[in-house]
Amino acid sequence: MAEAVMDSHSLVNATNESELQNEIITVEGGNEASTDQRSAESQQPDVDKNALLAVLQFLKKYNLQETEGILRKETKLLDDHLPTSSQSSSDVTSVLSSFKSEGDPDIYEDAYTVLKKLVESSLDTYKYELSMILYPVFVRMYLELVYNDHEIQAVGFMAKFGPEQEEYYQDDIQKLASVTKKDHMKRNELMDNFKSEQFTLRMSRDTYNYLKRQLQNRKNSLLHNIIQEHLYFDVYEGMARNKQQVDATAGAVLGEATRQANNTKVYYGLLKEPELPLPVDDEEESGEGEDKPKKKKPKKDPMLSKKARNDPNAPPNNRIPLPELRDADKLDKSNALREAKKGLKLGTEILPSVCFYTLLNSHLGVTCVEIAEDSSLLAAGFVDAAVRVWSITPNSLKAMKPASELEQTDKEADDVLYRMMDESNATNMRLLLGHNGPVYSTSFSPDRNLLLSCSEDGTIRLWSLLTWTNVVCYKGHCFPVWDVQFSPHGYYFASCGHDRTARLWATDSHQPLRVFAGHVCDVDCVQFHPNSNYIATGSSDRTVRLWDVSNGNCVRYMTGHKGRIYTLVFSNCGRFLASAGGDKKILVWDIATGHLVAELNNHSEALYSLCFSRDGTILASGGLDYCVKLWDFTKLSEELDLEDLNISHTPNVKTNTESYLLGSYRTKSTSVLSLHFTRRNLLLGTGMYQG
Amino acid sequence: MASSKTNFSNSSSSNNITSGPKDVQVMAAILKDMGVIQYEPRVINQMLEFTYRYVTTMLDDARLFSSHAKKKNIDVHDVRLAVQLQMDKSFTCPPPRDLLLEVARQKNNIPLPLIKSNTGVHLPPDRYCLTTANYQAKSQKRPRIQVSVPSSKVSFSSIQSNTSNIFLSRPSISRVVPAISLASKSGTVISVATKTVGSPLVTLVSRTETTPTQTKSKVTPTPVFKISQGPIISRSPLVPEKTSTPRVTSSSAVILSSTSHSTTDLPENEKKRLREEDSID
Repeated sequence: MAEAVMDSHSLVNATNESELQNEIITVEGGNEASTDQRSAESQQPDVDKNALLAVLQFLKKYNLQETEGILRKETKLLDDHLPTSSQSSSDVTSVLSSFKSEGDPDIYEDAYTVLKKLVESSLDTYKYELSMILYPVFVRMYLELVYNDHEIQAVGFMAKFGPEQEEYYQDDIQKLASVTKKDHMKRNELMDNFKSEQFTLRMSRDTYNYLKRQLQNRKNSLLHNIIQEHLYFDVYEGMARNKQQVDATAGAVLGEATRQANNTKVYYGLLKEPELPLPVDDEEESGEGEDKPKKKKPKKDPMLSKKARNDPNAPPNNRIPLPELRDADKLDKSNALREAKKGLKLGTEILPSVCFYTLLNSHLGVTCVEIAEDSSLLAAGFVDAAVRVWSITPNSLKAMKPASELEQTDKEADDVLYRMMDESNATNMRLLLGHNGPVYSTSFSPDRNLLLSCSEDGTIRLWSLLTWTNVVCYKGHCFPVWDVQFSPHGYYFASCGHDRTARLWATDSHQPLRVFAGHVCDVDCVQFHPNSNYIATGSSDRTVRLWDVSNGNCVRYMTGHKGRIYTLVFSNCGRFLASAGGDKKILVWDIATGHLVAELNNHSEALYSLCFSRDGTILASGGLDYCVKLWDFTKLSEELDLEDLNISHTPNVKTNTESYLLGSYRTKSTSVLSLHFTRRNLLLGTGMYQG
Repeated sequence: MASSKTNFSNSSSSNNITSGPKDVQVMAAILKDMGVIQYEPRVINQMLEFTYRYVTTMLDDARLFSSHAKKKNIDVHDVRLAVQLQMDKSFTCPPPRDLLLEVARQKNNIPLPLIKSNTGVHLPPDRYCLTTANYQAKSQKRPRIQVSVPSSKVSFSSIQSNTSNIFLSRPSISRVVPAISLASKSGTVISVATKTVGSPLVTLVSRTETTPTQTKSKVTPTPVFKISQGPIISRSPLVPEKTSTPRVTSSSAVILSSTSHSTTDLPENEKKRLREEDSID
């Protein structure tokens, strides 16, 4: 191409234009001869065509119109093939150039109005599915207007049709409205999403055929172009969905999930529990000898022991490497079982008591609170980059003795764990300093020796709760990290942040082991499945994804939230996932199929915390509306069991909220930041007093 | 933090917005356009401050670029370049989606490593942890005390500008006081606390002050006292205790405010004196 330009340079150096024309015609003459034979043309298309285009571009630049016209006529080149002068070699603009269209800007409004009328006048059965098409077409048209520098029309288009879109798209539309010039498009994150992925719509075959017929009738090329090329239709056989069903899965930034997205098998069962040493107390209580190993597990969940042995849905124990249980861990587990036995059996009639910890003078200071699994420690992250750990049992927090003293202690003594702690500086609260920005989340390890915290400075810090010092600083995210969680088995932890990824780390890896990329907006919360094989993430793009730890694939993609997702929690059996967030609703998903099974709608403000009781009977939720609400989960799961759930049939979403709500407890004006059921089914809540 | 109710102002209800300077009105309009309806009043101030700082930085950079390109006036290209550089430096965006997917694909192909069993707390290799000390204690040679005295206050007629040692058999200080806080007129000399018993031998060494961190260019010869006596001397700079019998009259010159930056001089001075002392002894 460069040579062609050089040639045209030499051409221009010829004194008058007519000479130039002759020169070019001779060049073209040679070309024309070859065009008689199709095969020859196909063999030398690229070189000559590029040369031609370069010459044309050159002529256009120097405003040699007559020559240009003649050249065009001779070579029968169409306008479309001409690259525009504004195209640079960067990837961004070349992809953005898909927005280029030669259309008249004024027809966009008309085209959109036509589409609206089409949807409104369609049959009722098709109407709801068709109405999903309006938003992506609106976005596409607006961006085309902006890209082609029709700013006035773009602004008018936005003002006329923007407010008509659904409520949950208004945030995105506002961000789009700030993009009014082509330069804005290059740097905008939302543009990244719209150009790289296609908006997905699920339609039944009937609806799809109807739409195609209508478009053909109208003969509107612009609409046809946009709809055919830039939207992805996932067509399924079956009846068109009604309004409720359509509404249930609407809301995500990029549309709904395709059927293939949720096809992989997910092992949602729990891992087989290892044999535990018998604690001394229980030998007196249980009489039978052989039944002892089996009796331990049923205390927690009577169904589990049988299922764990031959549960087809449980992953094999070695699917991902998990740390071995040490003696201290086994002791801990048997203690947990013993406590669970003594716990209150919750049900519809027996509701848990709630013990609430209020943080005073911290209205804008506390960002997160977390209670350890055995309810002995409470950690809070603050905006001033501090992490404070309190002991909420009478035991105070002790530090380990310094090394010189530790050498002198007897390591073989029975109470070595007690002796190695220094009694002299035992306090109730410990301050951990190290981060450079607000701490957004903390997580205790299952053995309560380690604490993780993540912050706006992009680092995740591991703190030892024996020496109360910062031990490791994990740098991987370069942007704020919104959430971090230890795995229920320890050793692994997951983090998610503003860079739209979630990462899996091990405490002894200085780099992430897995990167889960796929969300289109920042990932707000992350949660491990009880069997540590899967990770669920909730994001600002209003979707929940489930990832497989062993190979990093996204196995479930669940849409339906109408606002950001702030909290996720798995049920104890591992089959259900409850998520809640800015849209004030709790959505319950069935992991096996990826379908939405229930929508619990009673809160009046955004929700920040969810927690299942230890026996899986009650789901507690709390948020900014100062309320803690209890939901009957046994009833819900019983009703779901009765139905026959399979992948293809979308179940009816249960929305009869009132039947599941067990209780609603208001605080004075304390928003609920976290909820935690103790081993004995006492509900602990924490929050900040708003004053 | 005070638990007072945060004071949000609606853009329409506050009087400040409608009657304030034009900048304030513009900023309020921008916030309204972007959908921010409720905000504390100081948000506008912070936004205006940011705007001013950003614009001035951009224009400064643009002027640099245009003068580099030997243009007479700032051009739109200069401003564009300045904006682009600043965006790449501070307003970075997360990586694009296809890059993330590619990185994820590569990372996820590596199988999960097996866990080394029973190694206690699983931590990364030492250089990735914060468990080792990141400092090294410097070994001390001989405990020495140096007391620096403002030259204007002590009259030694035979002080010369370059290194010359002046030995006094009978020091003017009969008893070394526990703590002396001194500051020279130039304000760069600091104090050392001493605790000795008896009458030590004081060697006076004068030297030009050559501390590189000295802000004033004045070079004054500073006589240095060295006390070469056995007892353990605790060395702690800046103990501002004035005793009743400081022979070195410096009560008026005790200026502690300037010593904050001069503490950095101490190691510098001490090192130099240590070296020189070695050369003498």
